[in-house]
Amino acid sequence: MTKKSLLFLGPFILLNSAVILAALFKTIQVSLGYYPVIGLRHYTLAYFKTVLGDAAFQRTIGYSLYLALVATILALVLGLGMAFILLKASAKHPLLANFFKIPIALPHIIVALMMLQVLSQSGLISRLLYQVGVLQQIDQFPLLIHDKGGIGIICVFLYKEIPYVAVSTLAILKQLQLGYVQVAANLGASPRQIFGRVILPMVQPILATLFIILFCFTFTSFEVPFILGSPAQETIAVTAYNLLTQADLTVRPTAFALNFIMSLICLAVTLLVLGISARLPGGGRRHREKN
Amino acid sequence: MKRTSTLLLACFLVALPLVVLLLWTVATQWLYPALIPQQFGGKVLGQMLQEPNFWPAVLNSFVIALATTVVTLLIAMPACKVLASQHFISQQLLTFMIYLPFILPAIAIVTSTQILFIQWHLTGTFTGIILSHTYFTLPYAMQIILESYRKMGQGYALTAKSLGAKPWQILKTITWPLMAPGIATAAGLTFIVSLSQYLPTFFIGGGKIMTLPLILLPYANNGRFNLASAYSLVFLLVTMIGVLLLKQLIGGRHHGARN
Repeated sequence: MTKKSLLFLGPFILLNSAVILAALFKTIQVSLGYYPVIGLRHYTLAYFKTVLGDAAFQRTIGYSLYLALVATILALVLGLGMAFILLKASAKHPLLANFFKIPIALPHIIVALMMLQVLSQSGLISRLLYQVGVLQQIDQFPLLIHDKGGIGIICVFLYKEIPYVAVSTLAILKQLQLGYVQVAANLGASPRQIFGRVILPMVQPILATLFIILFCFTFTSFEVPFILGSPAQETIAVTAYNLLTQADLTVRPTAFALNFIMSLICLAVTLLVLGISARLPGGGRRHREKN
Repeated sequence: MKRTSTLLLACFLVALPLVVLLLWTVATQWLYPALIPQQFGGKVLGQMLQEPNFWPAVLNSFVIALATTVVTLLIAMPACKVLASQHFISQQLLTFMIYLPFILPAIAIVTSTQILFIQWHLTGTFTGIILSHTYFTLPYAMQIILESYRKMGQGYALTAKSLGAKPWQILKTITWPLMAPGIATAAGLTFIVSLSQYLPTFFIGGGKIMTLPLILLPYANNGRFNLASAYSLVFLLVTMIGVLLLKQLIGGRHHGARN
């Protein structure tokens, strides 16, 4: 590598590695109990034991996993479905197709607010049901916001991510349309072969990439569950935020242990999905394909 | 037909919450179970404009997002130029490196680097906030710029170089015009992502520097639909102004090269 390319790459590598390595170093140090600001100087695994052994923390991690998996899988399935629809319909209705993409650019805080206005007990849907006579009283409307199932939270992610998945997979589907499917059929491939050898290899690498991006984001997202979450059931990022905004610094090692565990889960899921994707048909071509 | 109606339904579902949001900004009375507000007026907008934090938040948000966009482009463009044509690092490792900020939890990164930023006296400063935003916007920008560099290839620049063009001439007459649409897209996206950041502004800014998300989050959380909607509207306006301005500055016009 020449001096010039090092100079060009320098700022990127410097900023990224400074942030990531500093974060890693501090997280490990503090979560292992070295936090001189409040007089802690002895390394211990106690904070990790607290997080992993405590029922409340376990519930938080489990609940966040549930939300992230449901939101991500639904977004991928529905987004891919919308991509197939856009593939055929966007030429005829370019205006509608562009309108459909608007949520991608909307911030999560605003979308969370909008869901509050539509889905809450005094929200638009509840008003609509009251007007047509389905509801006689406001409290007959099911709790969709601040509920334990996290319906409101999942709706926010779907609102933003279905268009995102659709747009991201549409580019790949357009290549498919160029005739690979017809060519395969012409050469005598069965529908099963067409799916397994043409469609799946082309679509699965981008779906795997999207799964990783969406899962890691929803699993540790803060703003959405902070606004819409149930007070009885926190998500992992809200728990960390609540611990880290306390004036009491002694809870910080526990918070950092939680930070470390959620980072590890994200990395583990990433490696797992990449590993599965590489072993599926089309996996070896991931990077030539995308770039 | 079925496809068109599905697309129409999808667009309706996208539009409905947006319409409700807009109605809340001009509603002065909207009691349950009315479907549309009982009274309209500009009271909420006036109330928002009189808040002491309103103008500082708008200006801070705009300045931070614009500066983040400039810093992000300054870091991403040279890096992508090298990365697009390099063979030292495997493609897989490269992708992983660029996308790492998408994978690692923002709250973990922000709260642990906060300690470092405190030591460097960067907390509570614009520099600190802009640097932390840049970390989060880089993957978005690099993804697009890397793609633009790859599409353009090295041929044009090499030809110009062999004909005696100086590096800045190549940048001005070849690279920039050919890549302008990609750069404009990357800049717009960076602006949007920076504008909607809450966690890095909150933790690195230490509450000293007000931005729109910092005001919006508590209002949304407390169910103050009127004010929260009005701020959302301003938020979207600032986004649009920023994106259009960047497009104008960068010159999204097609100089013969279309993509």
